[in-house]
This record gives sequence, C-alpha cells and structure tokens, in this order.
Amino acid sequence: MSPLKASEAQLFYAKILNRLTLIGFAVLVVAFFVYILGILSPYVTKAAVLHFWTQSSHHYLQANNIQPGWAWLSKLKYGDFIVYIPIAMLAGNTIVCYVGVIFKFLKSKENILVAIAILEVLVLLAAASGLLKAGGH
Amino acid sequence: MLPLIVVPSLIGIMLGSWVGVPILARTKPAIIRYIVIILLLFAGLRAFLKGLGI
Repeated sequence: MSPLKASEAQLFYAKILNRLTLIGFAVLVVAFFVYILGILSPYVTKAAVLHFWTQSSHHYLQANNIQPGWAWLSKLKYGDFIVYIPIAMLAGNTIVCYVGVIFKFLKSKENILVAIAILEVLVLLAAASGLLKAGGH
Repeated sequence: MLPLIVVPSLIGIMLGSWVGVPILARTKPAIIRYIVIILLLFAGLRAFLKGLGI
C-alpha cells in the first residue's frame, strides 16, 4: 500500500465523519437562527448576556444558576440551550466514527485495531459522561 | 457557554476548514510554511504582551 493511499477503514471513517459533520452543521445553523430570531425565548436574555460579556464564565454560570455538565438537557425549551444539541452532536461524531470502524476492523479481522478502537470509544464515553472531574471547565 | 460567541466561532471554523482544504491542496508548501510562521509569531507576541500586562 502506498503511504499516500488511504485504507478502506480510513475512507469509511472519513465518509461517516463528513456526513455527520454536514448534518451537525445544518442543525447548528438552524438552532442558532431559532435563538437569534427569538423563536424560543432565551434562558439568559441578550441584554443580560451583554452585561456578562466581560466577566468570567464561572461568574456567568453562577449568576444565572447554570450547572456545568449535562444539566443543559433539562433546559432545552430555551433558545440559548437549543444550540447545545448540534454542539453535542458534533462533539459525539468521533465516537460514532470509531464505532463504525470497529465493525470494519472486525470484518477484516484486525483484532488489535478492534481493541484500540473499543478502548478509544470507552475513553471518549468516560470523558463525555462527566464522571471524571478534571480540567478547567 | 455563550451561544453568541460559540456558534459563530464554530460556523467559522467549519466553513474555514471546508474552504481551506482545497486551497491547501493547490498552494505551494513554502507559502503555507511562511503563513504558519507569521501566525505563530503573531500569537506568541500577543501571549508575551499579555503576560507582561501590556
């Protein structure tokens, strides 16, 4: 195999990623218009956002009683939280792609790559779950 | 997370990557290298000035 030629699994991964990214992008644009046009009322009004503009994100979260992590799921009726859906979709794209290539590797009986891909999915799921408390956010 | 900051940033990053990849494929590697060097110097200078409180 030429070093410049992508493998079947790589092409499959790229194909899934491209489609999911396009869907995520479209949903992101729609969700942003829902927020900007005020189709759904925001949890934090735009005037209040201007007030918090120069302050820290920690202060913004505290002052508006916004919990970090997955608490946004309970606020999806608000316009400013609807944009979290496409962002979560885009963030989860990598997991879906890895799950896809696991089946490709199973088919080609590349067991080491299957194990690496499964571990990668588990690490990403653990990071997304919010069970591991680390980092600055 | 402020949607007013995050969403336009994300849209810009994604559009930039879609537009940038075909341009990257056609541009001479030396030009890309100089652009990256200039951008990194600019980012480094900004970080340096911020660190000094200027």
